[in-house]
Amino acid sequence: MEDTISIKGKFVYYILLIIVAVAVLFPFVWIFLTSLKTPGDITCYPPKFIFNASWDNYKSLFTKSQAGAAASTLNFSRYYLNSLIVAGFGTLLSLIIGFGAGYALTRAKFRKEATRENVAFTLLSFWFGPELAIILPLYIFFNKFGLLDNHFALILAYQLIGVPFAVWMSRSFFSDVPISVEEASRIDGYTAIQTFWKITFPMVKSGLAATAILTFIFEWNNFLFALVIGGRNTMPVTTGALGFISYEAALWGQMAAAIILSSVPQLIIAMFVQKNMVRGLTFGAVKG
Amino acid sequence: MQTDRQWHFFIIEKGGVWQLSKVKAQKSAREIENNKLKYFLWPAIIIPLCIGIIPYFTGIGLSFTNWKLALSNIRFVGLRNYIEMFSNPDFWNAAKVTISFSGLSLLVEIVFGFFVGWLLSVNLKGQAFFRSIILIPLMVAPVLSALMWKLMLPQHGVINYLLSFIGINAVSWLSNPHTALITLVIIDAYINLPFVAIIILAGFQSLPKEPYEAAVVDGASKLFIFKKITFPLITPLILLALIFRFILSLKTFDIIYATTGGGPGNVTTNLHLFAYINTFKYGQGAKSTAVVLILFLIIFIVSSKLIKRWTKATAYQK
Repeated sequence: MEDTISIKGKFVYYILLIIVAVAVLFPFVWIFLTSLKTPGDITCYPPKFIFNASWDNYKSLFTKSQAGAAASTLNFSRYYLNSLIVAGFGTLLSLIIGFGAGYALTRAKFRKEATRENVAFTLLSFWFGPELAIILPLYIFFNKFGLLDNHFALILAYQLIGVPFAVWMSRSFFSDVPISVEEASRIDGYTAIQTFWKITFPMVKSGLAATAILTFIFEWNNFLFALVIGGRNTMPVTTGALGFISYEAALWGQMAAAIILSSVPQLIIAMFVQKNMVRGLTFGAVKG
Repeated sequence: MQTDRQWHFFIIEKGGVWQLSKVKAQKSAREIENNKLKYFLWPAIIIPLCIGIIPYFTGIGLSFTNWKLALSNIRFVGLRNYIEMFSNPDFWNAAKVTISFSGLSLLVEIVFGFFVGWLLSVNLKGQAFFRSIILIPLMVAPVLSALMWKLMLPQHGVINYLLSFIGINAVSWLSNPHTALITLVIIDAYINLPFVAIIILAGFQSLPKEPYEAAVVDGASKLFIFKKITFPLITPLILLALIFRFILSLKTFDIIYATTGGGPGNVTTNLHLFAYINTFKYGQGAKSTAVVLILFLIIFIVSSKLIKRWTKATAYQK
């Protein structure tokens, strides 16, 4: 707003901004340093900023023969694979369901106009209600049908996060396309399906890509569903990472390495959706 | 009125008698196809119905039974779970923790989030860099961020080391009953403050120019401009951030479970965690369902109040 900022003012702003940036980045830097340390370096006080770095913690995450009995039950590569399977297929399913529904909610005609918002808000309430209200009864069902600790069941449960998000976000992009554009294309002789693929889709492509990425991140980050209805075989990184500190062992270095490996990839893909982040995180309420 | 979409009415003459005749209206191709679009909604209704709505209502039913994890025959017990819950001091403790945790973290996140959002909106070189840095905590799984802090916070951890330079004595932040809750608030703020900040930033970026030009012409002071122009224009966004954060902080689970597990004692056990511990540690399934339903109700009441305020605040834009 202020068009001219004095040199002194600029200096103050930059100092404040740098403080914020350091506060955000410090934990990542420190955890990365921790992941390169030996157990002795990790627990020593005062903490070491300079030490002999080694990749041992990362290596040991992917090799089974680990010192200590507790460590042998930890299988990080398995957790990672689980996360990829569950969040990957979960996202795919969420998008197939969510984009169709998002488009329908934007363009379909309803006998009662209220249906539109009722469906949308019912979906949204899954995101805002306490998860346990749904996951506890679901636990009984899955237990009864022998679906606990099952990839497919977890993927299904993840739809409670993925579908509402994909519907709301894609709907927000679809409604950015003026209806008159679609009508013009229909008058020119395109069918509804051609209109969608040739006119609407190219206009919302980047928005849908952002939706896909954010859906994946949200499903990857989920913790409570996996905690209740997952188990040894389906454990994703979020619940798996907890296992590094237990009564039997405190594998700080490996935990740090696991945290870095589980969070850095999504930080990289998140960089592609910066522009749509605000819209995504507010379910389309702020266009940003 | 609904009917005249499907039927057209004509008054026609038939054999010297005037009579009302109805003819089925031709629907336009577009209308038919828009009707068909509704079928795309079904998967989005059926799957959440099976894995969301049915379990949810089952949960309501279960809260009136004696369901326990180890128990196979489920019996109806009426309101007993609710009555026992309300006379349980642990429940009230959890309610108190929920409110103080949410209240404190909201206060911190809104106040400092507003400040950071404003800071990021200042027109400076290199802002793009700072604006992308602030997004990082939002994308990492909350449970992993919480674990990072857990690794930094022990008695001999790096945080205590850094604090020793400004004369703060080492405390084991997460296992001391006096500091555990406030430490969790700070961890929560680390994860969620950026959310508030980017919403406020979006608000600052979409401020219209005209009122400011008019105010400058009128010779208004900076404080006056902020109070009378900027703040009212930003208010809907503050409310929006408040709605989101309030709802989500009331059901915080991940970060507490990963760091303190509700301890020491029960000083950080909020309602959501209380329900989890009750189910999987003590096997009290039905009572826990009652607890989460109460929590759901609280969230519902508070959020509908806030949403009403928000609709009012944004009414002038429509």
